[in-house]
Amino acid sequence: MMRPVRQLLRILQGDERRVRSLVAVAMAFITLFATSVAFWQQDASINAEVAERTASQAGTMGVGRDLAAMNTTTSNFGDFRRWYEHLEAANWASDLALDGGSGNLDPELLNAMTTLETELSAWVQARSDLLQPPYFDEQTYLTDFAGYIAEHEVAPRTRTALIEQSQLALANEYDGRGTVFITILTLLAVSLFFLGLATTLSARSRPLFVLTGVAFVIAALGWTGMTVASPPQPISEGAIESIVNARTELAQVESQGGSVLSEPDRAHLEKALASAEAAVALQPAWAPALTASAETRTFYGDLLFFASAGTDERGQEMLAQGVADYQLLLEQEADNYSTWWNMGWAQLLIGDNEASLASTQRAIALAPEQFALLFNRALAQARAGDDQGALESAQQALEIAAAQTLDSSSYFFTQADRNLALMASIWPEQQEILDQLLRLLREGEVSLTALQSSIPQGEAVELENTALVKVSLDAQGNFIPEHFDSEYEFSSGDRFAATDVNGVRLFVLGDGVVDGDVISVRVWINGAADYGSAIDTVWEPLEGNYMAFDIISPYGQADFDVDPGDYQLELYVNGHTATAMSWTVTAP
Amino acid sequence: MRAGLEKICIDNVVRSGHTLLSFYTSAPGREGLLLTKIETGTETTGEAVLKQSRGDRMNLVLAIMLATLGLLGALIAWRVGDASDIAADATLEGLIVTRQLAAAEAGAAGLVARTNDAWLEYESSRLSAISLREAGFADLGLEAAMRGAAHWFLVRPEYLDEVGNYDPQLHREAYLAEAASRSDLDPAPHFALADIEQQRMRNLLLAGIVLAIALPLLTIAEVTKRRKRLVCTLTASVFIVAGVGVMIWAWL
Repeated sequence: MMRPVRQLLRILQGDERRVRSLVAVAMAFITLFATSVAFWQQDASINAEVAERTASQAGTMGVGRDLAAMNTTTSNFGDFRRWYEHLEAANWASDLALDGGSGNLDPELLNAMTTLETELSAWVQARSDLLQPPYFDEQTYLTDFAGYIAEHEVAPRTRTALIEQSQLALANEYDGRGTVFITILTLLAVSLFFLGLATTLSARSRPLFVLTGVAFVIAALGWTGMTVASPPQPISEGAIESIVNARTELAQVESQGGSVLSEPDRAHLEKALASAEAAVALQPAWAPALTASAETRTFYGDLLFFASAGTDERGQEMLAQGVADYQLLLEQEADNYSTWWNMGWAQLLIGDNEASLASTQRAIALAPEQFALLFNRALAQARAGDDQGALESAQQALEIAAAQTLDSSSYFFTQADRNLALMASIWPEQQEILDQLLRLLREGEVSLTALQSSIPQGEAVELENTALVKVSLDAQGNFIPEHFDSEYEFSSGDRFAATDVNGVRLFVLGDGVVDGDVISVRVWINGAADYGSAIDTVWEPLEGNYMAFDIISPYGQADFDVDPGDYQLELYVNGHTATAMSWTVTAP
Repeated sequence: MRAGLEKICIDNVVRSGHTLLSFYTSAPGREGLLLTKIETGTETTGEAVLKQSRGDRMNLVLAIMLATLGLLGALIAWRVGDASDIAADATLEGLIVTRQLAAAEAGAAGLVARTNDAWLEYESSRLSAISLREAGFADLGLEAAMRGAAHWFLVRPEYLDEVGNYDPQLHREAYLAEAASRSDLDPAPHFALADIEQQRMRNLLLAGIVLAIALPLLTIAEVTKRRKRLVCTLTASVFIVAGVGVMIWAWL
């Protein structure tokens, strides 16, 4: 080993002319090598530019396509409304004609209108994509709005975003490769400097500089070899399409976390899961694939959790896998608040309260303006037994919501409301604190909407003298009974059939309520807030110190029967809960 | 010739018409040792001087070839820079045109949706008017016709077919054609030009590599003699010619 080194040293310290010649040849080879590296560097730079260009092009065209798709969808929905309108008009005319007219309408006119409106509905139907298969079922007359939007808006939008992301990722990789080649060129420049310097030095110090120069070249050679051997790989189209499929299926899931998960929803979720798994199999480290997997598992797990009251093992497994996916994502992007948020939620549902609290806390630190995160923290604190902390977090959440527009918060209010109501039954040991949190949330929402305050105003009032009656539309267009009539009355907790019932009227006797107080009514159907029935009004009693509130939907106004389901009604005075009642409507 | 003296070294210096010849030994352990120097007059004679003269010419050829390499390298660098500029401009232009196309597509979709909505309202009212009049309800037919007239200002009759049906595809294409007459809506040629120039950059750099292969060969030729020198020079020439060929092909 030492002998070749000694020989090398002897050569380098020997004939100066010979050493110079050797160095000159070496430098010429290094220059050739550097030229090759420059070629690869330029190639990487060009590839990065092309990928960036493709990303920009896809993004820009995508915005245009998205806007065009939204216009087309809006137009198709308009067609649907017209079709429905003509259909309803035909039904109205047909019904009246069959009854022999209503007295002031000519039966011949009604017959003509029946024919005309039927023809017009068919004519409009023929002109709308939305009213054709596969989105329209001729047998049931049901329209698959979610499927139409998923295919025409969600899929192209997702595809564009993924192409953009994949091309930007590729551009980044090529940029990194280019940077490596520039570093290698720098190493070669340094080696040339050392070798050049060696030719000017004495025989004794020459070997050190020559060998150092050669060492740089060897390092550059090795690094170049490794870099050239591992070129950036573009994201496979299969992975992109799998994610698009997963998102498209998820967009068709109608359940928002209720106590029932329908079979069509399960089918969509299973397809979404299979697609997300395929995407991860094709691109295991690509963030969008991991995100699709994490979100699908968490969404599916969440729905299974609430549908099974937390008992579904597959749901728990799915949530745990979702957490694992989120952890992988955080290795790539540690400051993504959305990832921490969703991971904290999944951890809460699988009972890992400590981890949930830590994840949610991290998300709050990254996005302190998101009020829903504070509610999640309140839930985690409640689960961990910190009731006081939970109430403080919930109050803090409402204060943040008050500082924002209600529009931006309403989605999370709805979600939090539904989750809290269900969780109280799923986790009976925390029922008391969860009920308190739900009360805080509901009174907070009412106060924000009616009083523009995060907390109720004045003193709480309990309204005990209330009555509920079923109302129906009579031939004169009035909802009867107009005044309280015990014949139509029903009590809280009652069940009745929807047949010939268009809505409900609530009579409230104003004991303890004073002029100027704000009365609010909120209704939930099957646990979901029905904002169409929300009422906020100033107390202006009729003779007898009472007010009547109609819970009649636009469909009820058009003489449709009330929707079947479990109804819950709460009445608030100045944001304070005054009374609550519930009933069940069964299908006709 | 003395033992150990194997050759006459190349060092020769011509000053004021005199030639200084230096003799070195290559005997083991004494390599490079100066043995003696001989200064000749203007009239040099002998084999050594003849060899020296050929060496001078060869050195000149090598220097010219190396200089040519440098010049070709500079030319390649300039053309690569030029191609890069053209590619960057074409890419930018392509992206601007892409934005214009996206805006036009969105505009077309919006206009078509608006026209379609107005036409549906107009046409259903028109059909109602006809049906009601035919059923003997002329007043109601008139009311329907008047209602339909309210939507007519948004209907583009030029895109109604012979039976009065609105043709959204025709309207969309006409809108895009009209937009294309005002501004460029086809990014493809711009991106194609960028691709061509980027490929040219790659090809030129490839030519640079072929030319660069000549560099170590010429350097070896510089430091060697006789057959080795000739072989290296000829091989380098082949690479230079090949490199120039690739360069011309890439350039044009």
